[in-house]
Amino acid sequence: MSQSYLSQDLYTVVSQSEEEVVIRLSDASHPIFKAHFEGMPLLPGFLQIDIIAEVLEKEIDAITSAKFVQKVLPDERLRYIIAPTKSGVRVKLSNAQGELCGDFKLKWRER
Amino acid sequence: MGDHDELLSYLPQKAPVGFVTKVLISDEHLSRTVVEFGDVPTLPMLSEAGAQTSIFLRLTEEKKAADVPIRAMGMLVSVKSKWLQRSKKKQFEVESRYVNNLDSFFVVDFTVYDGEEVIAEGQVAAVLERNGVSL
Repeated sequence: MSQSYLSQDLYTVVSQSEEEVVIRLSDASHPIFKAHFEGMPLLPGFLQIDIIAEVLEKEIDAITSAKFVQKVLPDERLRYIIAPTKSGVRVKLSNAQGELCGDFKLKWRER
Repeated sequence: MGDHDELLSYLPQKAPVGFVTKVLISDEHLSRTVVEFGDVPTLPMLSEAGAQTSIFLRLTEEKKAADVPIRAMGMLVSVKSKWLQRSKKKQFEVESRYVNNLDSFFVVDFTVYDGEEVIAEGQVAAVLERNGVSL
């Protein structure tokens, strides 16, 4: 897995399979958290999607829908659950408290 | 709206996630920017560029009616987008167009151009902070 220039050192993979990926985010000193936003560090929504594609070495062709329902903070342990659908995959992202943070319907292919 | 270079200071996303490098158009219901990336962008990165371009929509009447400050912070709540044509470039122009809003919930379409070619398009929705209510 190669990390992009934005996600370098942003997270570490705790566990990984095709159906479930667990990561831990870096602390608030990472440049992404300093930039988004100053004084209010949050993981940008686009990186919530890019990270799972990166870990599973997929390339996204379409975001059929992506809903961001909970702020994602530095140091958080995040769990992605990936399930196939008729037209692609559905990825649910939750935090350590089990709260849903994002719900993404994607079309992707192998890199 | 005033000087377009000055407008960039209103972009809350800073480098390396502030992708807008120049504001070309900042009208009531249409905005257009130049966006740049450190590498060939992914579709989520282009979608974020669409959301950032929408920050330069003026929406004077809509924001006033919704009790939203002119320079309101917004939280992205949904995205849909697709590639129309792949590009390996790192600089593009992005156009955003106001679609509608319900109070402080705003929907905007965006189109990504590589020269004359449309390479991606989509829609973003964001909730903007209201006067006296921060996000």
